[in-house]
Amino acid sequence: MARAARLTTWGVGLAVAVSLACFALTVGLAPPGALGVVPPASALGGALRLDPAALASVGVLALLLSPVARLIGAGVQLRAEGHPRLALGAALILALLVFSLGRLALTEELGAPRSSTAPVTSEAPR
Amino acid sequence: MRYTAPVDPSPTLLLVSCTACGMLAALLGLGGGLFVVPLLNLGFGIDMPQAIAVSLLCCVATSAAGSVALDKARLADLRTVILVEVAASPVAMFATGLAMLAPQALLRGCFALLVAFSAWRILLRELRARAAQAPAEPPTWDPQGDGDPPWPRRPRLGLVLGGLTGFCSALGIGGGPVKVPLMTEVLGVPMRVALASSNVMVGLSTACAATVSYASGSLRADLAAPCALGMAVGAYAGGRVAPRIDARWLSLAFVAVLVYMGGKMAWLALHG
Repeated sequence: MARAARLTTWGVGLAVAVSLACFALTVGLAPPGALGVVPPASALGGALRLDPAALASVGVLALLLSPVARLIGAGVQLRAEGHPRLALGAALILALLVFSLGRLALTEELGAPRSSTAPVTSEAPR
Repeated sequence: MRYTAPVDPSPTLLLVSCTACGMLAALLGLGGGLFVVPLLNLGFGIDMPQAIAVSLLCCVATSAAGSVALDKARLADLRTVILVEVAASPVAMFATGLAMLAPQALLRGCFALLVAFSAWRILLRELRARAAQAPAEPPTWDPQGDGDPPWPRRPRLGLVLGGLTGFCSALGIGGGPVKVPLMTEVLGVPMRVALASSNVMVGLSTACAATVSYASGSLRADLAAPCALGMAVGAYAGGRVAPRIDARWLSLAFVAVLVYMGGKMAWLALHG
């Protein structure tokens, strides 16, 4: 059980470290002006090309993975302590989060934000 | 996609202000959403859905950084965390989906109410601590011992009220000021355990909500990166200096700031 707790802390720490590194690179590389995140499907490729929007997206996704590690650790610990119902509860939350992240990963285009200002594409005007 | 905004704050300004917010949040035992949403919306003129999306991410960052740096997760009671979050997380996702479509005035009005409630809770906590002249936690459980904290009282009521706390995420805050009283007063969880458990809970429900705000396209990379980075660094630094600082006067000053922010949000909600 102590091993599970240690692995959980390492998992969360790794996710946070990756995301903070991506955010630091984004702050350093982003041009002035507003910049939206990109769909997860195209984030990794863009991040390898040091595209700031893709780097920020990878950082966000890494950060959103940190509760996954926490939930796996919690489920293992609760089951070992003899709380199968609560372990099932942890599995339910994990399933919800993984389903939501999976659906997000399959999204090819993000929704248009409901904003007082109109969105414009990143392409230069013709 | 790139978006235009009324004001585009510089990354350096965001980084510095969010680092300060993160430090303050750690000193006051909060997640930071109560600072980030007004900072972005009132300070920089960012729309509420975009401010909420960034704030949710900041809450995940401070929760994760806090739990790793301070090892709060070991003090947290996982039974209480799962009991509350099994209801709160789905509600947080649903409510955030609604918030991304809701009018700005409604979001500002709800945020003002939540700020007022948080200010009242913080003030009450300080007044009780001063009246008792002693730590608020009764000596019913030794956190350094081997045993578990007491089993939560009234778990069904906790489940229902836990679901209601999920609505806080729709406003970009983790809901610590709501979840801690729920745990201490309804579930009978000791205060130290409740504070540590709240830190883990905030990370779970805001992460679920953040996936919805990401998919809605409201998350802006130019705001999210410096804000989350600043909040995580500030929370880490604040957590380190917190034991050496008397935060009581800071709490009272923060209540005054909350009253001002809540009043301004309410005014803007009513008068646009």
